[in-house]
Amino acid sequence: MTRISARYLVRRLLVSYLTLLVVMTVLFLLVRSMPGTVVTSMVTPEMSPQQVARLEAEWGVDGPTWRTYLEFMVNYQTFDFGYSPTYRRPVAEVLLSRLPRTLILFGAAFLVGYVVGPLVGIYLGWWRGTVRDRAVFGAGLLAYSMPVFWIAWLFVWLFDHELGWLPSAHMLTPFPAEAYGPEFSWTVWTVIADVLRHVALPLFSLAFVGWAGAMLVMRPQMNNVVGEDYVLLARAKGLPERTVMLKHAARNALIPVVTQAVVALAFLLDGSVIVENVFSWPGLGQVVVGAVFDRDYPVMQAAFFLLALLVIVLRLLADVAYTYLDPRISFGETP
Amino acid sequence: MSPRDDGPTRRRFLTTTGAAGVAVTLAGCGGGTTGDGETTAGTTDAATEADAPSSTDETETSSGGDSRYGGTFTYGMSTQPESVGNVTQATSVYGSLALSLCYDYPVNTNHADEPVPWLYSDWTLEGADGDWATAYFDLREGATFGDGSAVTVEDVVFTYDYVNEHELSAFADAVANVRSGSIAAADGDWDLTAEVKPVLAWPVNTIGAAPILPKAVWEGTDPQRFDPVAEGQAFGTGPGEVTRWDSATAIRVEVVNDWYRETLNRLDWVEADPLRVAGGPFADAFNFRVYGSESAMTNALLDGEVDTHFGSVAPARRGDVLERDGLSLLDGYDSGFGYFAFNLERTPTDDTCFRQALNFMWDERFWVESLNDDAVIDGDYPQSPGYPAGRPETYFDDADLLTDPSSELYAYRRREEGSPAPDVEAVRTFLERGAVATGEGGTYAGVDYPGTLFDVTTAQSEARHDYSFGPVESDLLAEKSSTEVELRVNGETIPERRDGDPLTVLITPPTEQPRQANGVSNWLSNLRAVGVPIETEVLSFNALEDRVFYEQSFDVSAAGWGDTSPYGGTNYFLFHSDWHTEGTESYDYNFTGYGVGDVGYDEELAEAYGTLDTREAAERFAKSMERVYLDAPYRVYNYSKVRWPLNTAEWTGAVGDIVDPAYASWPLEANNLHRRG
Repeated sequence: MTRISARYLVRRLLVSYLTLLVVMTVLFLLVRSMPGTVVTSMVTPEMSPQQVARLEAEWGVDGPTWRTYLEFMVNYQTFDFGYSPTYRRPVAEVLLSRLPRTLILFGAAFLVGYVVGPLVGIYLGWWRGTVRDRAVFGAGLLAYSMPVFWIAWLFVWLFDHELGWLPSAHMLTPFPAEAYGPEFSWTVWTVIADVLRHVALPLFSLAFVGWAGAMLVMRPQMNNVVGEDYVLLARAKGLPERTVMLKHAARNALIPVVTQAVVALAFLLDGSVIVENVFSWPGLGQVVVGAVFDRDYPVMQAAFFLLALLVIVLRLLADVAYTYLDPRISFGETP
Repeated sequence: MSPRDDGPTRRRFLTTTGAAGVAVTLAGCGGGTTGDGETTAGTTDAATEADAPSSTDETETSSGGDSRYGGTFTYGMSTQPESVGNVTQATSVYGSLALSLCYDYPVNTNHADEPVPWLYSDWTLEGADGDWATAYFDLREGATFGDGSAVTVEDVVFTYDYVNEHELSAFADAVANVRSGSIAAADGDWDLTAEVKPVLAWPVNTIGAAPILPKAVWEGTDPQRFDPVAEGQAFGTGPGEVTRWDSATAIRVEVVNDWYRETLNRLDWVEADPLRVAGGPFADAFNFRVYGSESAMTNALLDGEVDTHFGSVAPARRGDVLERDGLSLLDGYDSGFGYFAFNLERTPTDDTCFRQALNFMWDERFWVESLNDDAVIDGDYPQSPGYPAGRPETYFDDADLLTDPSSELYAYRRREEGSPAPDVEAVRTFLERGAVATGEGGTYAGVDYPGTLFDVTTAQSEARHDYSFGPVESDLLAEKSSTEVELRVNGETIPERRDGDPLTVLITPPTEQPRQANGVSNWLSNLRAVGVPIETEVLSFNALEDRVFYEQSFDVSAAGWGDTSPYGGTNYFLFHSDWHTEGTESYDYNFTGYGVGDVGYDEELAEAYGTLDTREAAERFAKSMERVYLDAPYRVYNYSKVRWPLNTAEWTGAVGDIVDPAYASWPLEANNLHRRG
């Protein structure tokens, strides 16, 4: 049961909205301060001034800054991100078409990391000081110290080039007729199987490092609650060790991990850039990198806006989650 | 490694010259491939004479039973093309690789870079003396689109109307060089007529400047929103049709146009052309795979996922490629050059004497041998050696390409044995005397120079400013050099003239181009030893492009990859004052300001560009190369050597030792490649 009063919620929503407006304004100013405009790469010296003016009018870069700003603020709040000069499609369409691909990979990696990591952290914290604890903790620390891109390239070399077990590029086999025979055609199951084959290596690379972060937060938190009176009471009541560990101790140790997990979700896009390039994964990260180099300002702007929105929303959700996890926490008047 | 991998630059230069979109080949013979893991090198002879091709050839042949036909050739790339396979919006090379197989241009060029009949079987020009001339031309009988429908006069007229109506920058020459609305069906003996500008290689750059679009497909469409692939209509007059376009992953082109293979690509001049294999393309399809990085792309090559990839193999990976059975590296030339540009509208870079002094201090041996391990060629003229028709050496029997002493004025280290140190005193003396290497024979900054081949001389015969040396006053020189003297320009140090600022060289981040950063560092170290206060300023590529190409707010800039064309015609765009504008609103081809003041070659460049005969024009441009070399608005520091990888275990027929086999000459290669055995 959550413990957030309506008044507090409204106040938080208002603050979040104002924060979003400030972020949007900063984003607008930052993008405008970059050299050139969206039509820069379209203009050639052979064009007459009239042609250039028509192009600028078409792409909405010819008006005064205040008007462009107002249009931007209104349009973005209705998720109208304009048109991409690179993709020749609405920006929303471009981002939405790529988002599922990023979610498949990073969503899966997130789930693996934040299921395995806290679980391992719970057990290590519970048995802190044992040989098992030190060994696994050391391995986790080592894994967490490795840059994801380095691990990724290592796995590419080992599992694709040396062993040939798993593909290291793309999300689906690009030309299935060549790989599986001229009679082959995609079905739901063959698509799922093929995606699983392709996602295995990047997922493994991300999870190899990702679990360790969650574990490193969970382990000391767990150790903090091991000696608490309520844990002692639970033991004294004769509850099974596993029940004491998971239901009574772990639940209270979860709060910092929840914070970390929520923020990690928001920064999926941030992490996707490198990994998507290493594995040629056709997701949002590739789009954003390409947009920067190609001066596709509408796409760039929209992607950063979505990231900011995600962080703001997830922060709010994290607060709600706190009240569920810890009965001592409430925001505003208790209902 | 060539600094050419910046997307925006490439986009820009795809539209600069009339020949940029044409699959042109080098005048000379290629070496082909060996398939045994070795690189090959062909000769690079000068243009050979070619008979005027017959314009009504029809040869009959059948591809049935020919074992060369068949198979799918797979090409890897590490940058995504445009998201839509729309040829009217394709301004990047990556999209053009696939689209060039489908949307063919109606005028071709032979191995001597002469315009030859293709879809247009014949043409003539009347009234070439004026600003506009009248062209008459015939459409080849039997020409078909990829869907088998006939190419008609209406399609040709529609194409140019469409291009002009929408002002398609992808076909800038078609917009600029063909009077809007003038293409029409002709009365009398000819099929079509048009009013065109009488420019160099006019068939290519006017009536042949846009691929013919099927009216039935494109009429009524908005070029910015039309997706022909989605409509199943992504074909033109080329051999292929795009059947799949997923810009993030894969593109597929299937060869569908039998008439192209069996008639057009078997014309007499094709059969006789030493670089072409008639009857192609032999592959049934071309797959293009998109990877997220160059490393992933090269790994795919090594794993056998692709038969080739875009660009050269990185020097560090060449050993891996050569060790792999069935892979070879094909030699070629980059179509561009690496260069530094000087701003001729600032002091003292407005002075030829000063620019030449800067050039003397560039260490070409350090750059070529130490930093690049001989993977590049020392630069001189703004013309790739892959296009020798536009280079001066071509026109003199005893002049050697790239090494003739007339092109070695600034190469102080290559002309001596051992490792001579920069001759700082000689350069100081050069400046103090206000000397200019005018093009006549003599000794300049300690370098013996025989003079130019064409007897070209510089615009300036002596220095514009007065140079002297005095005690060091700049903090920069005090901190970063052991020199005891500092240059004065008209009695003042450079920082005194510039509110305390030294000269700056704009470069992109060293992490992106470490070799260039290293080479520039060495250069500036030499210049500071002379007493010139100069330092680097690091900018992102986009920011540098704005500062240089739009605002012209720079002293010296590492301007990256410069494009060239077969006849040297690019010089007209790069160095004629018409292509320089003041202000910050427009992109300038001529951003140095060459020709704006009293240092330029406008008249001769305009005359060369207005010469209709390609050989005559090429010779005129070759002469302009020497002038530009001496006047030095650019310091061309290298031409990259291309090492194009190829699966030679399965494929043969590729042509080596030509320009850009992976890109500019890709349509030629695609037409030639066929399976072994």
